[in-house]
Amino acid sequence: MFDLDNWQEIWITITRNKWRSVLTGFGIFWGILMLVLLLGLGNGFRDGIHRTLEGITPNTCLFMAGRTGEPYHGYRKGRFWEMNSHDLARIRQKARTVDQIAPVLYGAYTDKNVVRGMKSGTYNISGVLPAQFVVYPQVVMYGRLINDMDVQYRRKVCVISPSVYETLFDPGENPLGAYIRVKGIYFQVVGVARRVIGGDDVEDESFYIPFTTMRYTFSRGDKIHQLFCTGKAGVDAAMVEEEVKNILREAHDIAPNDDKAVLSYNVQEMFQMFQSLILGVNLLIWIVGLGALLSGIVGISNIMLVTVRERTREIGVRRALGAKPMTILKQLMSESIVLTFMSGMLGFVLGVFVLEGIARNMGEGNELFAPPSISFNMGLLALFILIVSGVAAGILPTLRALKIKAIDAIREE
Amino acid sequence: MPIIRIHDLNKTYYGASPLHVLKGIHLTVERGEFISIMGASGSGKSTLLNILGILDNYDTGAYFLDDLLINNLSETRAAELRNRKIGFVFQSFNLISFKNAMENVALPLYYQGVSRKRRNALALEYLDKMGLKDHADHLPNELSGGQKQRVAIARALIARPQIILADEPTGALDSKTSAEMMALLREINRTDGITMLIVTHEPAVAAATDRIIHIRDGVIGTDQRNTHPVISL
Repeated sequence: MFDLDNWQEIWITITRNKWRSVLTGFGIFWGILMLVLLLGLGNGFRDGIHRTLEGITPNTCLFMAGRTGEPYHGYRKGRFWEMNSHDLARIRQKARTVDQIAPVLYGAYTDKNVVRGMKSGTYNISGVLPAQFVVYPQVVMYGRLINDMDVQYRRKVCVISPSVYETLFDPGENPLGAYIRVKGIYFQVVGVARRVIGGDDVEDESFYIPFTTMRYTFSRGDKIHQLFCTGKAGVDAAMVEEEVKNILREAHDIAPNDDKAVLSYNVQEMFQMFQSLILGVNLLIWIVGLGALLSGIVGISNIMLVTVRERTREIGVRRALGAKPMTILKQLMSESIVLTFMSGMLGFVLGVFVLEGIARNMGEGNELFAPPSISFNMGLLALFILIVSGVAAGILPTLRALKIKAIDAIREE
Repeated sequence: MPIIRIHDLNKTYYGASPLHVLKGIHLTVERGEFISIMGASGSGKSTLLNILGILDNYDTGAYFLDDLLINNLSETRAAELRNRKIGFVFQSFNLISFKNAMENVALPLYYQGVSRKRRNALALEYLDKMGLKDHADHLPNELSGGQKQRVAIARALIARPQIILADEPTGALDSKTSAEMMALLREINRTDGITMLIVTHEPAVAAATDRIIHIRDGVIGTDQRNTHPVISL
């Protein structure tokens, strides 16, 4: 059934009116091109978000002290309160959902607070426990991270980020063992590390020292500025959040129904938000892309209807000479599919080239966008969509053609 | 055994006002006859031709083609029968404009599933018979009217049909070419023994046939033998 003649017939019909075929095919070409470009960019967006979220334990919660929202135990509403180091012990003791507890105590933030020889910089100094690096995984570039011994002996050591290293050290210089002065006190560099999150994160200007060192050496008192808690495996972030909040409320004379006192932030919510954002973007892409494709299909269908009308006599003659309805059906369907497929493939290939071009020129991308890409499966899907489109576009013209009777050819106008 | 037997054929077109076109046609055609069908426009001769060519259905009566009852056939079966048993020659030739002469002639065999090589070889043979071998690769618009009609006749003959239905075959030709065409049809009738039915309104064309049937108001008016057929157009 697929001998050379069939293809010749199809080819002749398509090329008989070249411009019409080109313009018709353009609809499908454009539709697929748009779909591929949008999907590629959508993938870039998704990958970008995933890359940003990668390396955060999904059920991590962040807690900070705010002002109370309800009067309680004789305290007025709007009271300031602070988390303190006893809270760590309480949470460790009571909370059953919590896995890692990572308090952060910030140093006083003053201009040029970090100095090494002639070089200096302004950084937010964080006093942390080793658990901090579970919450925010790090890529160690030199040396090591802060460990339990550092915390226990209140060692004056620090772990700095690459951007801090670049400011305070000459390129290629070994930072390990070097001393950095922080507000008059010297700290020894034991490691350079960057967060896993977000690739080359220029925002990452972290300067870590042991939690206890910060507390005692800089006389920061008993308080904690921020508290990260990760849940045990399989525990919902919302449960961790609620449990820790309740413990904090109880310990600090805060009403159990006070939602304002403990400020909390739950990464899972952010995850979910991004997930639905990605879903929404994808949905939009498919609607727009398939819409463009649909208008292409309508275009092809329309032109083919005109073609069938023009070919009434020819089809009638074929019928008189013995063409069966099935033969006519095959012929027209093949025409539709070939036209759709060719222009669609052209659009697809061009789309992939454009995406590749964008990806090449984009490098690593930024927080929200990774280089766009399109998967092999997506290619197969596009192929499938094209064939379905071809069939869909051919249905109406074919039905019209099947209604043509041999008599119509003989009837003299 | 007659090739065509028609018994009390009736056909009505149901439009805004029903039109009773064929009102009981009785007709028997023997194999190898050379017949012309005449009639004024609206007499029903085209309808009769359509029914004979299995292009249209009839309401009541019976039509046997080669002893086969033709009645309410499926489109597929009708196409098959048309392809094998009937050759069509049209007034306006109805060649497919984007196919050359050889491909046009070969078309019926294409629908039989004959291989490209064989049907093209056969098409060349038939074109040769029509004296058009040199024009095999010409497109229809590069041929004269007479040449086109000869290509059409070759196309009608290639599937070795039992009857040829010609609808005003000389209608678009000048008198000299018309005369040649009638001579050609006569020769095919004589040498191959193919039954010819020619619909015409030209008395001169009818005069060239062996039997002249007049259709008048949906019935057969006269049916006369022409013992001295002459081609003088």
